[in-house]
Order: sequence, then structure tokens, then C-alpha cells
Amino acid sequence: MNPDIKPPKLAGKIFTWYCNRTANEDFHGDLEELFYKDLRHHSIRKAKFLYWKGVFSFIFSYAMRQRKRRSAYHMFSSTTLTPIMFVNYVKTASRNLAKHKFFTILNVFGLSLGMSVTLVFIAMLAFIFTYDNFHTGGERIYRVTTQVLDKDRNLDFASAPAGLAQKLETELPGVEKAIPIQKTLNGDALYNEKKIALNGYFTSPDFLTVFSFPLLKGNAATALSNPQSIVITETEATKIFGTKDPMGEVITIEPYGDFAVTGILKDLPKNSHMTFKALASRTASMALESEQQWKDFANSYVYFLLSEHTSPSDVERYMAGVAEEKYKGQSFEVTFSVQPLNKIVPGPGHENEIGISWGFLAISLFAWMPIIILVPACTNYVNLSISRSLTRMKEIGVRKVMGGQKQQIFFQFIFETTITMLIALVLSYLIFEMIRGEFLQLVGRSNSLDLAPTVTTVLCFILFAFLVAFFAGAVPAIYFSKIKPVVALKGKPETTRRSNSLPLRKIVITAQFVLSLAFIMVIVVMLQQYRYSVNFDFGFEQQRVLDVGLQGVDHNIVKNEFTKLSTVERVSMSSHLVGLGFTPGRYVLTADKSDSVEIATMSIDENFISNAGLSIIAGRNFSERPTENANVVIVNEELIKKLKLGDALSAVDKTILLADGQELRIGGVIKNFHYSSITVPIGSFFFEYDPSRFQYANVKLTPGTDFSDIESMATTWTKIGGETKFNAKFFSDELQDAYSFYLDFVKMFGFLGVLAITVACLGMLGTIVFIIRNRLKEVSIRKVMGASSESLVMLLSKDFVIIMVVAAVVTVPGVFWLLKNLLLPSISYYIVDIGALEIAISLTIMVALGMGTVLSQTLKAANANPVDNLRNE
Amino acid sequence: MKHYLGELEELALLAIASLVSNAYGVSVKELLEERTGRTMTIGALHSTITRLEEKGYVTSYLGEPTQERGGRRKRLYELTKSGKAALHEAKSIRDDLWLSAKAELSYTK
Repeated sequence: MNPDIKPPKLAGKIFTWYCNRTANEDFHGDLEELFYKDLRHHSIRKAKFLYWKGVFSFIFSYAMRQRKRRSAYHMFSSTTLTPIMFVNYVKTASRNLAKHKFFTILNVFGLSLGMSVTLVFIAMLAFIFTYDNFHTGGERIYRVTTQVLDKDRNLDFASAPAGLAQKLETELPGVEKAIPIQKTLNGDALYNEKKIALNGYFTSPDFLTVFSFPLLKGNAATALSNPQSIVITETEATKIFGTKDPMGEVITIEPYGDFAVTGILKDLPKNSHMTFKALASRTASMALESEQQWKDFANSYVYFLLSEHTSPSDVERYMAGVAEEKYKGQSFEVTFSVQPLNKIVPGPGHENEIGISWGFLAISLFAWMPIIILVPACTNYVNLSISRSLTRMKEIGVRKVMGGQKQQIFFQFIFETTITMLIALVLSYLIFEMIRGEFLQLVGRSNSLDLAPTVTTVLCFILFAFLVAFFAGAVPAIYFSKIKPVVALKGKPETTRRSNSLPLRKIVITAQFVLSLAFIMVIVVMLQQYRYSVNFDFGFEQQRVLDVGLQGVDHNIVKNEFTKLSTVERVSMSSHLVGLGFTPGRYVLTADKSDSVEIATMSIDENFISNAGLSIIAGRNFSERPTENANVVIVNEELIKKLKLGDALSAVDKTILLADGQELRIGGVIKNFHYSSITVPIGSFFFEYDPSRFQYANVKLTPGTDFSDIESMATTWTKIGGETKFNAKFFSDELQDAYSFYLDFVKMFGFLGVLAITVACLGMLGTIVFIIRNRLKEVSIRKVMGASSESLVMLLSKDFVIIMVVAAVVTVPGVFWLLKNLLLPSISYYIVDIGALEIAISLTIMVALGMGTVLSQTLKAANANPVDNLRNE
Repeated sequence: MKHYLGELEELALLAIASLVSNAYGVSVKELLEERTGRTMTIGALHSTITRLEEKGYVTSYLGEPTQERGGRRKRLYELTKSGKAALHEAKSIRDDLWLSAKAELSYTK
């Protein structure tokens, strides 16, 4: 045997490295013995190769795997999960939670805040996924969607030509029923001189048999068979007919004529993507018109029921042929697709939806809400758990020495997190119950969302809580399970780790404060924007104007009666109210007559301009004699500029031409004012005099009037108004209502902001308490040596002051830019200036909350009696 | 629990028995290779022995270190009672089957 020839070193190293702590003496010996034996028969090269081969045969062998597995476990350890261990975990966990009440409360509170918002989101999601699940055979119902591709746009419509329904049913045997829906049944239902607004669909008789909208009265199969028959929902029926039996009654809906009520529908469930109050049979003219609808199908929808053995792709193939035939030689391309009923909501989102839609995009926007709160809450939990490792070290050390395996320690901590999480879940459920109603109102979806918890949602809540517990618990659990028993028993976490984890912790807290400050700033600025909008100088008089809805009463009578009252200064008429964003438009030809522009209009009488305090810069007001006002308009400066009519004086008596051919003479020019809302810039506008469009009487009151005077107007109204109710509102109130969406926004952000700030403060509180506990002795010794309380507070608070300064420096310019360039411009054209005041207010709130948290702890520590802390070692 | 004896397991068990007090990885491997004429990797052999150990048919103890093994000790294997029983059972099954198949297996036929 040649002692100079040695087995390949690297292979040996790989072998020992792979074996790690596994006993491998015999294996390694066998390898070596074989090597020297091989040397006798083979070349050195071959022997070395065989050695390598042997090494790998071991590495991938069952023998090695089993040995590794066995060596991983301590001789006392048992990896089977016995109930005893389970009981032990519960006991340790509950004792630990009870022992550290402060941290438990902090954790539970923080997590429950985060969870509560998440629960809202989960409930919302769970409800959205129940959409249209109540139709029997719903998996066979499909909808036709239309993709129109022209030069510059690719639009995906939910609507489809009605003619397609007819073709599908008659020409394709796989389609059992095809249902055309016409969404044009909109108008006032007239019954016994009562007018009730009604909206619904014109559809074929099969609608009621294919979809599962149950009838309370009437026969589903025949209810819509006869022309001019209508089926209405329970609620609407009570509104129209009261307690009377509606069956067979006749209601009139202009312009469609009389309809006989042939059925009463149960009120629609909230999770139906179709929303209608009435269904009427298709009129004869609709069937005829359906040929023209191949080009204009904005209001028509096609649904169909497929027979069991037909695949929807067959239908698509058939419709491709139809599209080719119908749209040959057009400048645009049309494709029809089918969409299963249960994929409509939530769905990809189409143009021109029939009813309620929940696009994936909208849902993912809502998803940010819980993420923003829950993630910081979880990081707090992780942060606090790890920083408390000091108190748990000995326990973990003993567990490990007694045979506790890594995964057992891991499981123990996951278990503890789960218990904390379940307590938090109960609390968060209470919060959820409190906020869900408010949430629905804020998002304005109370008609199409139901957040009432069901068995499914509660199961989802619990499941989600477990999930979050696992992820939040995993980090501390891994940290603890990795601790070496010797280090743990010494009772000291590795010192290097501490100094390493501190910057991370600081970053987490800084990030939370950045978020909080951002919320505060947005809220403060939004409130300012609301104040700015309400107090905006619209260019017209807002005070002392009471707007009375005419409700069909003749405007001359109203004017005469109200002018008689002593408190009324002047009464004017208008078609709608200014400054609230409603602007009916008309098209006017431009100067070179090549194009038309949309121009906002409003009908007023001769008193309006003086009532609103508008100033006429050229020309004159409308005449008191209505006949002289025909085809006369009063335009604003912007219109003159737009149509290039010269200066104000020369523009008077010029004519403007409407797109429909009507010629209008400019009677006067008024100074620009905000006729629409301040969310849009001032555009071209004119006043016209058209008494038929008057809807409101604007009553200017004499100074010093109060509510009792309005009473007298109400009495007058009962004389002239017939059955209608007196409907009056102060203009300034209307204005506030119109901008109340800012307040909704503030409410929503405010709630999230409060949560974010609370979570941030909780995280800070946990950290500072932990730091102070660790430094108690140091602080006490400093104090004994003569340090003043103030200097100690400074010492302990310094880090947190830096954190807040950093947060402020990062957030203020960032959020300032976002608000100024993105958020506010997307809401309104005229935006408030964000000044030093808003920033100062935001900073003050953050600093007050943050420093309050810090000082409450540091002051206590600095003023504590050093003897108490130094007595025991 | 009733364990079944694979073919290689049976051979390894017999090899361990026939090597008496010198049954360890390399010796078993060499004996088997010599007798059966097939080659196997040392890892595969140890896997088989590990399975035998888990089934309770062999036990092991560490022997003396030798120089050619780089001063490492051998792990020596010996049969347990149930190992012997398993071999006996395997043999008797075969004998029975041989007996009944004797006529058919005769070369003279």
C-alpha cells in the first residue's frame, strides 16, 4: 500500500460536509478501504473516480437519509404531536400572555385594528363572489359581449345587438333560449294621477323562466307573453298601488303607452348584477327596429341559455360568422364573445354595463385599504415579539436541552401567535360590526353590497386570522427556534444581532410614521379643500337665496304668490341651480362653421341676473315681456373668446348658430362666473329664456329673515301647490351638500388615518417600553451619578425624535407633491393652496401623538427612584 | 409487524451470516459481488443494510479502528433472532415451492 496516494480530498470534504453532525465514521471508513482496494486493480485515476462515485452513492442513499433524520432528533425527543404537548403549549402561551399584560394588550389591540379593516374587505369580497349565484341552471346562462376595434380605440361592451338574440335562438340548435334585453324602460309610471319613477327592461317572455327572479303573483311562463304587459317588484307595487291588488291594473309610462300589470316580482336580491324595478314585454316596434340595432346597441343586451351538451365556443364560432356578414366593409371590426353569468361580477369590466359591476381593478384598489393597516400591525407584532426575546431565552434553552426540536419550538410560537390572533379576531369582529354600515354608506354601494356576516364569511374570517397568525408568527418563531441552547441558557441574545436588528426596527417605525403623517396631511388638506370649495367666490350671490322646486306648478302663479310675501325681496326662475355641477349642454357651430363645440346653458327669467348679483358688461338683460326674449341669449365672456366674436361690446347683437340650425341673437354679455361646480374650469356658457324649462324659483329674502318666514311660504305653497310638498332649500346648504363628498373622503381617510396612527404609536410604545426596560439599570446609575431628569429624557427620547424628523423630511415634500399634482387635480380644477399652515398642523398632530407616546414612558423612567432598580442584581 | 424480505435483502442477510464476525460494509459488498457477479455501489448496499436494521433483522456495533480505513472504526453487523427466523421462513417457502415444482423443473424432461 502506497501511503502517498490519498483519496481525493474534495470528495472527502463534500462527504463530511454533507453528513454534518451525522455519525459517518463507518461509511467514511468503508469508502477509504474500498479506495485502497481499488488501487490494487485499477489506475489511480480510476480509483479516485470510484471514490467520487461512492461518495455520491452515499449522498443520495436511503442509508444516509435515514441516518441524518435520526441524528436530527435528540434522544429524549418525540416528534409526534401528543395532546400533552398541546396542553403544555396552551398553558405556556396563556401564562406568558397573562404575565406580560402590557405587551399582550398592545399586540391584541394593534392586530385587531388591522384585522377589522381586513374583515370589511373580506366580507366585501365574499359577497362579491356570491353575485348571480341564485339562478338555477346559472352555469348554462351566458351573455354576449361585443368588442369593437376601430382606428384608435378597442372597446369592450357588455351590450350586444338585439337582433343577435333572434338569430341565436332560431339558427343555432345548441341555444335553448336567447333573451334580448332593452334597458330603455325609464320614465314615470302614471297611475291615478300618481307619478312614480320606474326603471327596468323590455324583454322577452322567457326572461322569467331562464333567470330565477321569483314571482309573488302571476305566472312566470306567461306573464310577459302579451304585448304591453308589465311585471313590477313588490316595493314598487306598494309605492304605486298601496294596499290594492295590483294584478290587472293599468299604468301608463310615456312614451310607451299603457301597460297591464301581470305579475309581482319578489324584490331583487342585492347580489344580482341586473337591477330593475320592472320588466315589460317588448313592443312590436322593437322587434322591427332590431335590424337597425346592429350599429347602435348601447341599450340592448343579449343573454342566452345553452343546452347541456353545447360548448360556448360553438356559439362564439357561429357569432363570428354573423359579425362577418353584418359588418362587412365597415371601418371598424366587431367580434362577439360569450361571458358566463357567474363571471360577470366580479369580472374584467366592460363599457356600458347593464347594472352593477365590480371590476377587478376596483377590487384591487380596495385591497390597499387593509394592507396599509394590517401590514404595519403585523410588523409591530413581529417587532415586539423579537425584542422581548430576552424574557423567553431561558425557557427556550431549557426546552431545547430537554429535547425540544426546532419545529416544536417553531410550532409553539406559531401557536402562541394564533391565540393572540384569535383574541384579536373577536375584538376586530366587534369593530367590524360597528363600522360596516358606515363603510357601505361611504363607498356609496349600500344597494349592491351586503356586509352582514354569513357562515362563509365568518369561516373566511377565521381562516384568514390563522393565515395572518402563521405569517406574523413565523418570523419570531423562526428566530426563536434557531437560537442555540447554550446562548439561550446564558440568557442573552447574541449581541451582534441586537445592534443589527435595531436599524431595521427603526426603519419599520419610520415607515409607519411616514404613513401616518401622509394620512394626516391628506385629511388636513382635504378639509381645507372643502372649506375652500364651500367658501369659494363663485361670482354670484349665495346668501339669502331660497330655492323652491316648482314640481310642475305654473311659474307665474308661484312668482305672483311669493312676491306678495313681505319677507320676499324678489323671485326669479331658473331651469336648474348654478354652481352645483349640473350643466345641460347644447352644440354651437364655431366661427368657421366647420365644427361644433358644446356649450353649457341655463334657462332663466329677467330677475335671475339681479338676484344672483351677476354683472352685465355689455348689452342688456332679458325683457319682462317674454315674447321679446325668444331666440335671445346672454353669453359669458368665455363664449365670446371661444367663438372669436371680438370684444364684449361688439359681440352684442351678433348671432350664433346652433348645430341643429337654430339661430340665436346675443342680447348681452355677462362677466364670467362659476355656473358649474369648481371641479371644472369656466367654459363657454349662455343664458336663454325658456319658461317651459323652469324648474326652480329662486326666492331672494329680505335681510334678517329666519325660519319662521319660510313657514309662511310653506303655507302659501299649500294654496298653490296642490298635492305636492313644499320643497325648499337654502342655496348655501345645497352648496355644502354638493361638496360633502370631501367630507366623505375625509371620513374614510380619517378612519384609516386614525388606525394607521394608532398602530404606529402602538409600535413606538412597544419599542420604547422595551428599550427602557433594558436600560433601566443604566438610567438608574446615571441618575445616581448626578444626571438630571431632563438629560435622561433627552437620552432616551433622542432616537425617536430622529425617527420623527426623518419621517417628516421624507413625507412632507412627497405628499405635498402628490396632493398638488395628482390627488387634488383629479378631484377639482380649482384647488386650495397648500401652505405652511397645513403642513404645520399636520406636523403638530404627528409630533404631539408621537412625542406623547415617547415622553409618557421616558419621563416615568427618568423620574423613577434609582434605588428600586438597583436594589437587586 | 410482518416484513417482507426483498431478494437483495435476503442475499445481504445471508452474506452477513456467512461472514460471521467480520460482516461490515466492504466485506459484505465484496462477498456479494464475488458470488452474484453483479456490482453495486457502497451506498446502495448500506441502504439495504439500513432497511434490514429497521426491520430488526440485524444489529450493529462499532469495531476496532484499522489503518487502511484512515483510522476509522468499522460498523460490524450480526443477525438477530428475527433475522434468522426471516431467513428460515424464506427458505422454507422456497423449499415448499421447489418441492411442488420439482417435476416441472427437472432438466431431464
